[in-house]
Amino acid sequence: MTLVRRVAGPAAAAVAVASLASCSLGGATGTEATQPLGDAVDAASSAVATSQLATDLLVRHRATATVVDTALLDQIHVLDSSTFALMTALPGDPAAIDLRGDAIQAVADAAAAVADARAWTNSARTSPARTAGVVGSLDDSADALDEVSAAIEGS
Amino acid sequence: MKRLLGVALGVLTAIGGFLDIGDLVTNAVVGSRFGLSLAWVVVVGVVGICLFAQMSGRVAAVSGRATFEIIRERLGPRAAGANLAASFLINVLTLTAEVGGIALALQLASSVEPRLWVPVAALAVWFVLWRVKFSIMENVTGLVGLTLVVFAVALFKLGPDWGDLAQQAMTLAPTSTETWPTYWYYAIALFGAAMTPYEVFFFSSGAVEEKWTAKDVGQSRLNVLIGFPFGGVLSIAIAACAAVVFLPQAIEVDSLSQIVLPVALAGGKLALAVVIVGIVAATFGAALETSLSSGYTLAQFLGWSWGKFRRPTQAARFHLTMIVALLIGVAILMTSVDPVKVTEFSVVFSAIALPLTYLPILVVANDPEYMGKHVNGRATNALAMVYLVIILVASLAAIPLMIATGAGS
Repeated sequence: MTLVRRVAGPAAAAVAVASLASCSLGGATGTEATQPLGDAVDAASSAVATSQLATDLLVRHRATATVVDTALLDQIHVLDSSTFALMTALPGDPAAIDLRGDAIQAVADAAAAVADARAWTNSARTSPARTAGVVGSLDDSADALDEVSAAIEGS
Repeated sequence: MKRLLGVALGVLTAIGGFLDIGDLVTNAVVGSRFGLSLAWVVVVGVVGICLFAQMSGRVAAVSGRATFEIIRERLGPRAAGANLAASFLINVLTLTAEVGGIALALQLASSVEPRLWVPVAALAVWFVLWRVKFSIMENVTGLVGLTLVVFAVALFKLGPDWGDLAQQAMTLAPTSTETWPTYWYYAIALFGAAMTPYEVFFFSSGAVEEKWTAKDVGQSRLNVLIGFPFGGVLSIAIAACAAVVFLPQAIEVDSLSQIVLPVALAGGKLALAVVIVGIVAATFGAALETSLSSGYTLAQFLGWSWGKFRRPTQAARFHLTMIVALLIGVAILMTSVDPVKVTEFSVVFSAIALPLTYLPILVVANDPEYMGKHVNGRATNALAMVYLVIILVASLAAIPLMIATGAGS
């Protein structure tokens, strides 16, 4: 009885550790693999859509620069969290790994577009070409994220 | 005429004072994710807070003593101690969220990092608590908070499809992208935001501060029964603005800066300025109320001298408690924790603590020794029993749902 207890205790612990290790290190497959990618891309799309709305309000003189600056800064934090979620996701199959690469690129481009929009917000905003560039970059980022999102959903 | 003005002022103050950072954030988050499918929870929460706030106001007006003093005397130190521990912790958490809310609103007006505003906001709260008369403090913040009616105006100016909004309100189910556990998690959060415990302690202690008597029960009832439902309408307007602007674009609300964008879209810079003033007033007023509630609960439990009608030197420990509560809030916020996250947790933990707050009030309101002929009627007790069941279910389900949904994420 004592021997059984001696063996059973460490064995149970070993099984628990192995299970936990497989949870944290094992690559996920199928929907399980793409779910975190989809969530991160959705959050990034939400951040870009907010940035588009805020920027549009400033272009149309319906919001102050301080409010738009704060809104864009908040969305940079959201994109930062999305990047972290994508960087730390461990998809198991090669297709999901490729999708993750595309998602990381799209979110990075979106972060750059929002950062550029914030710099524009804090500038004199006198150049129509620069304004069009900022708005265009945000639109392109939104399109790119939509494409990645559709690819993740379709996988 | 003077009496009528008093009633009007009380009602307007109750409307303006109803909303705090918890209501602002939770309603906008819910509107962006679930549309108006959780508007029914606001209605349930408003009826509940009306029921228990008028009960605690009546207890204070009839007995001349605040609810917490009587709870300790009537239920003994152990039961009252459990109530105190839960209420005090929730108060401090809510106070932290409110001070964070002031800082976030000031960031909208200035672009200055909120952590720089936190000590300024806390200092301003303390100064008002120290120097300003109770009635002035309550009326000014309540009346300025009324500017949040701009959310309702913005909703009309956005020109929504009213049929679609009505359809959302009638659909008591999550949207296609959300799950049932998340739906119920946010239902509890909305319920907790509407029924935050500090409101009843503040209401009953405020009645003592303003020296209400049994003659004032009618006015107290009017303030609550008219003021709070209008406050609830503003809550639904916030959710509706988010539902109209954010839901179709799949934008998830997770910051205060997003909450004001629909108002800017509808009304431009002027409406934006008004809503920022309203948010500062609402969060500042709630920070005053939660600070006072911290002082009230501890002082009333321990039998200390309390109240703003006394000079600070005559109620030193009451004032010290408020200062310590404020310092704890500032210390938490200076760790760079997101005030919106603090708010989201504070409303859920409020829901968890609700039974400890509301059951004792019901017991005291039924005790003829304190209430005489003003004890609860049968209808009030029947409704209160229904609410106790709802409160208990919400309290028990809150933590499992928080774990299951990853705090609604």
